[in-house]
Amino acid sequence: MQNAFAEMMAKGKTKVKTLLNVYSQSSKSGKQVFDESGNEDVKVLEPQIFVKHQITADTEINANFVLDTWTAESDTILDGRTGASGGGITGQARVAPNIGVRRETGKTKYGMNLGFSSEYDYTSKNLSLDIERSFAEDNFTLGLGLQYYADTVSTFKDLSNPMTAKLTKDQSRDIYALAIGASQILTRRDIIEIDATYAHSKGTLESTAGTVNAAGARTSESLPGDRARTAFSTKWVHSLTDEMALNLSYRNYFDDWGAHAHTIRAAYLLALRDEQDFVEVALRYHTQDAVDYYKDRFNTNERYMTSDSDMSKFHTYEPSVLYSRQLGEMKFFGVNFEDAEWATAVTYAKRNTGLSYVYGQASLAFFF
Amino acid sequence: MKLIPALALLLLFSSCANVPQIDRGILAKRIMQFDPHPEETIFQDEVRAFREGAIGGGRAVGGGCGCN
Repeated sequence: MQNAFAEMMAKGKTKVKTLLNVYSQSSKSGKQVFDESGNEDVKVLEPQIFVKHQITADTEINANFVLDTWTAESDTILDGRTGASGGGITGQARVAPNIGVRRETGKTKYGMNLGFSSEYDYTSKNLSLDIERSFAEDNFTLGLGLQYYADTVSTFKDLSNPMTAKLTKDQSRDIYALAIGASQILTRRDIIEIDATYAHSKGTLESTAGTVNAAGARTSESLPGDRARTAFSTKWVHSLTDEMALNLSYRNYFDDWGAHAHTIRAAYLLALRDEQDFVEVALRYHTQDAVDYYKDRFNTNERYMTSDSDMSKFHTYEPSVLYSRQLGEMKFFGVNFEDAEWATAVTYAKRNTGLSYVYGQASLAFFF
Repeated sequence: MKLIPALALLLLFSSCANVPQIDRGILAKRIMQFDPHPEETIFQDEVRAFREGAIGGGRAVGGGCGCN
């Protein structure tokens, strides 16, 4: 809901931001990997572009476009046995456009977004609606967000003969989500936010490359057709001085598959050069229990089975740093761009199970 | 039942003393935003949603991802 809360620009203004995300994951501990190698290495290159334009004093239209390309070893290993893609997956791609509108009327802001995402084993059409109203001279704000995803996923139903296994395509996965949030200014230097999120997923919830070792043989994972997930989170932002602040958050998550997670994050924010530069240094810690259906390997076939490492018990430490710099006015191809800003960020995460990932983000934003 | 503490917190907030508009100079700064880099957060939320199988405190609850 945060995007819907952002301040509107002046009428006629346009903001463009290009962002490049580069992700690299390393792991040899994935129990779901078909050939027992545990290889979960992933590399993702994701350029994004965000555009928003203020069409009237109180209405903004926005759009973003994502193009992912990636290689995932667990997909490649499975595909190498099944030949599901015909020639062996060496790289995959996803396109994901999203358009939206936001409007402000008095103390109320509301927004709507439509999104689409397509990759070889997954598609998504999604709709989100947000509304926010402020009270008590804008000291207290209440927000509500609704999301609906009409997704499809392709999975292997039978891997008993991998060489002839076929993908069952376009199985539905519907997700409904509701988020309620409130923020309150506490003092001139403190603001707090609390959120509650509920999401219900229904349909095929297994993943394409997820397999389990059951009674000594590799077979597809099997999961219930429903999952209800709930999370409560809170965030407190406190300014230490006019140029330094702490941003502290905690999230408590639980679902009806037996998972329970706690996540805390502490960030130190610093404004430099008369607020032309911005630095954020953060440390995030996440710990979760395994879902009820998770085992590294199964002695017998059970109704529901998964060895997906993302649903196992683990904890993660995640340090990150972001630096942005105002570049002022710039001129490209004879066009003047105002308030150009360059930013770069690096995030590293390490699980106690051995999986680690690092990603870099670099962006350039400007107005005209 | 877990909603009760959340509702109690909401009521607590709504009874807080107001800070006048003129005294909110620091609160308007970028360092005081709940999310000072929303575009970067979209990718971060995607990664966390798929790597941790959890939701909340972010926007990603579905929609596909190139990292399964």
